[in-house]
Order: sequence, then C-alpha cells, then structure tokens
Amino acid sequence: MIFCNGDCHITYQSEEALDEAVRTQAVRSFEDRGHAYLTKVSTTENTITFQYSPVVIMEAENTIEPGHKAMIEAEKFLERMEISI
Amino acid sequence: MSLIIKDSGMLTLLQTLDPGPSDQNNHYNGACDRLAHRLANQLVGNRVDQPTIEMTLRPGTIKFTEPTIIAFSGAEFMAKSGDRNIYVNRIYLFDKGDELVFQEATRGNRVYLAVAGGIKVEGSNILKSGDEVLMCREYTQQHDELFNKLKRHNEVNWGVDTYALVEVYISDTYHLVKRPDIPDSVYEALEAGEYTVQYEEYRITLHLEGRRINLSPQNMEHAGVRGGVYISEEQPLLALNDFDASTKASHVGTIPSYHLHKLVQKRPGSKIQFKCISAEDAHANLYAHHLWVKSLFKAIDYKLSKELIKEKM
Repeated sequence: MIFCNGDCHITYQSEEALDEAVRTQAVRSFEDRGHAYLTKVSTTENTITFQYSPVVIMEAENTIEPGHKAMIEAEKFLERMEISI
Repeated sequence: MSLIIKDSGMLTLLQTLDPGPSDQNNHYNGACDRLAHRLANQLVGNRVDQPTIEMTLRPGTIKFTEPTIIAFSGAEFMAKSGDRNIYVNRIYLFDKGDELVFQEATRGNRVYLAVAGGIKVEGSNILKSGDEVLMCREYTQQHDELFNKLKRHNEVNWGVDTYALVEVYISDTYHLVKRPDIPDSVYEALEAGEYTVQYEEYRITLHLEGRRINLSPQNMEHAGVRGGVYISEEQPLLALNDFDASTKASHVGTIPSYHLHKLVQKRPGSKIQFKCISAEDAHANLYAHHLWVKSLFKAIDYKLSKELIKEKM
C-alpha cells in the first residue's frame, strides 16, 4: 500500500517486514540519484517514507494536487527498486 | 562579544529552521514552531532560516554585551528590560549591559528570539545558564539603517498584532490527514471527542487524554513523522520534532504542517479537537496558508522599508 502520509510525506507500507538489505539499498539508491520533487527517504521494518515540499510542486507544476506528482515519483522509484506496490 | 544566557529558564536551545547535522551534543531537529522562527527573523531583517533561540515554557534572562537588535515571536510572553515593557512581534535595540527578562505568558508555550545579523554557538546547542551565544554580525545595509534608526528610540512603534495571527494560533481544531487503511469508525471517534493535553515530553510527544480509541494492533513498525498521530494505550499521542524515526504504536494519520505551529504552542490542560480530512484538502489549505505567510512577510518588509526611508528624509 502507498498513501499520502499527511501533507509532506508519501509512505509505502508492507505487511511483511522489509528485508534489511532492501532498506539499505533503497536509502543508498535514493541518495545516489537526483529526484524532481522527493527530498528525503527514511525506512522502518515495514515502511519506506518519502518527503516532499507540496508548495514547490504546486508552483512548479501549476497544480493543486501535489500529492499525485509526488506519489508518481515515489512509485517509479519503488519500481526501479523492484518493490511491488 | 555575545549574548549571555543569564538564566536558561526551563529549556533553551539554539535551533535551526530545518533539521540539520546533529551529534551527541547538538540536536538540530528544527524549530517546533516554524512560523514563529521565520517571523522573528523576518522582523529583524534576517534570512528566515537563520538560527534562533527557542525557549520553552519558562524563558529565562538574556544579557546583551553590545548594541543588539532583536525580535521574538511565538508564545505571548511578556518581558521587561529595566522599566521597559518588551512585547512579542516587535523590534527592539538593546545596549551593552541591558537585560531581557521574560515573565509569564498569556498564551502559548514556546518563544523564538532572533538577533539581527545572526547567531551561533560553539558548543552544545542546549543552552545553560552562563552560556554564551556568539553574534555572527552578518549585517546588511538594511541592518545598518535599522541600527541608525533605533539609536534614538530603541524600538519601532509598530509590530505584528495578535489579531493578525489569530487565524493561525487561536483555534483548538486540528486537521488530521486520514490513512486509507484505518476504519471510518476510528475517525468518527476521534472527531466526536474533545481531547486534553496531559503533558509534553519536550519536543518529542504531546500526550492527549479523552475518548478512548479502540484499534486492533497493527503489529508493524511505522515511520515517525512530525505531526503523526499514534494511538498508545487507546489514547492519541502526537509526534513532535524529536520523535523517534520509527514506532510500533498504531498510526492513524498525520496533522498537516500548517497546523503544527499552534500544536507546539499547546500547554497541559489545553483542548484539542480533530477534524479528519483528505490529503487533497490539506494541500489546498496548505497553499492558502503559504500565501497568507507570504503576504504577512511582504507587509513586514514594506513597513520596515517605509520606516527606513522616512528616517532618511
């Protein structure tokens, strides 16, 4: 499951605990790549959470739904990491 | 030359706007009340992300060792300097030897003190009585002009009025962005009851008490996000800036960033009511708040410039 966690975060949540190696790789991969709007990532045993600035997206994309843009970017990142949503 | 923390009060920190690199002695997890932090800096003509002194519950006494322009924002603490009354959201010049003594607050919990030209510390950012806060003196032309103007009166005759801030601080209603996997009955229960702030674990959590929330254990580790609302022992606890990165407590939603200013100003005994909304609604409200802050800061800029031009004429 992936959802808007408040107004500044997107959280991917897995019922099963995420492998420690996958979590480490997700953070490393996030830091190695540039991102359009996602600014930070953090993980727990069951979640991967991305941070973004909604106002930046709203003004750059002229949209009132910044969560949608951030969600698409987060999903693409998770796909690259071969994490099924 | 520096500011001397003559009495550190209850909890006094040098704090950055956003979380920054921290080590064993320093905890730069960002200002709890980001609006007050930025507002104090804006008033003294600083960049809004300059560090400020965050003082919680009982601010202490600060001594000045050279002419210093300051403003403080956030909780409505009264302060004195000798016989002078010093008010929140106004600009003041203090001279060498002056002391700023904080008194009781009529509203709120935290106050943010900004110093024109910026401040820093060399050791821990947790300030104790006797500590020094160094002045960066990164003065702009506007600061120089402000110093000249304040030499005569020590203060300007305007400030940001309480009424201007009513909309963002004076309300007990807090938006809560819903999660897709939480039953509606939980949100209905949260909205139906009024909660009372029991206590704050400083900068970590606000513990509430009110209508019990029955939620089956989620048995997973959630992300600890600022503004997160978690259920522990059937009562809500709200995550503040220093909350853990992860928690086993059940997560039911997150308070949007535009309501966190007033959340961190809540004292024990204060009331909180939840209004559960979607992320889309939160984003619309956030943008309205962003525009309001922008216009407030523009108005301060305009007033300050007008004042300084008048001085030159």
